[in-house]
Amino acid sequence: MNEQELIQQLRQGNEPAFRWLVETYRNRVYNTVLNILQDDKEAEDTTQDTFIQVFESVNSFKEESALSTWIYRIAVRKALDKIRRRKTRQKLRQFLPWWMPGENTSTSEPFHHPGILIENKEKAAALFKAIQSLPEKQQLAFTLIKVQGMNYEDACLILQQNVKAVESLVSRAKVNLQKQLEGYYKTLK
Amino acid sequence: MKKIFTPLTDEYLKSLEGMQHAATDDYFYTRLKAKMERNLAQQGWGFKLKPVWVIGSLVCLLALNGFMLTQQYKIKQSTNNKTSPLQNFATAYDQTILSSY
Repeated sequence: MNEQELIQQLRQGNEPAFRWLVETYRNRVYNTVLNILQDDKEAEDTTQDTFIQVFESVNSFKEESALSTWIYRIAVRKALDKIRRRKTRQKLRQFLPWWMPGENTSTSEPFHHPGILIENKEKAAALFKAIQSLPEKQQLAFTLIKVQGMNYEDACLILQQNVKAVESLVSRAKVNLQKQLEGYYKTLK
Repeated sequence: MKKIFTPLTDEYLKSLEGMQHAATDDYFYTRLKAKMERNLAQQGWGFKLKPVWVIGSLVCLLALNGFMLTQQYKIKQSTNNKTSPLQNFATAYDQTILSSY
């Protein structure tokens, strides 16, 4: 089935076509979202929301980009929404602790990516923690390119930025991470 | 482009080498379908349960309550100010003074 046929079938509400799409992209979307959110439950939830939105808004998909780029764009936007909501909740929690007593503070706990080699776990967790402190755009660009291993061309399409802008975001992220990690390195000594 | 020197970042980035991709389990589609059905079932009531609607309804109720209370207070005040003709007669002829006769 080519992409055009798949889009047609999705527009007709064809369930096997939707299932095929989910089975094909679920792990790629989940992996991207997990790297951004650094929380497996939120990543699963966001992956589900991404496919629900794909199903609901496939009729408004203008086909100006590849279907995969469109799906990734939705996933990244949803992950960003989650991060913003998380930050708002953290601020609220700071001022009104009784408001959300059972809220988990996932960002304060180190994130251990399930695919990292055991010997690298500690360093990777420190790196993920440092990434969280980056400004939004730098965080996304750095995660997609350096963590996810995406090429600049694809990342630019997803982030809807030109190559120079993305390159600049990645280098600024690297400088900021260097500062963060220097602080972490000093605490280890 | 200016060359930047970030040895620590590069060193920590090396810890991601050989990283396996994370994956969802085989029941992901089942859970997704269940969520979609749940969303569909909630669509009728879902928007009414959103905090903005709940808070909005509460504010409306409180405003209505306040309005009713002030109206009631005004009615009470105006009835207190009004005196009956019998009372007027009693005041005019000083009939309110108690007498032993």
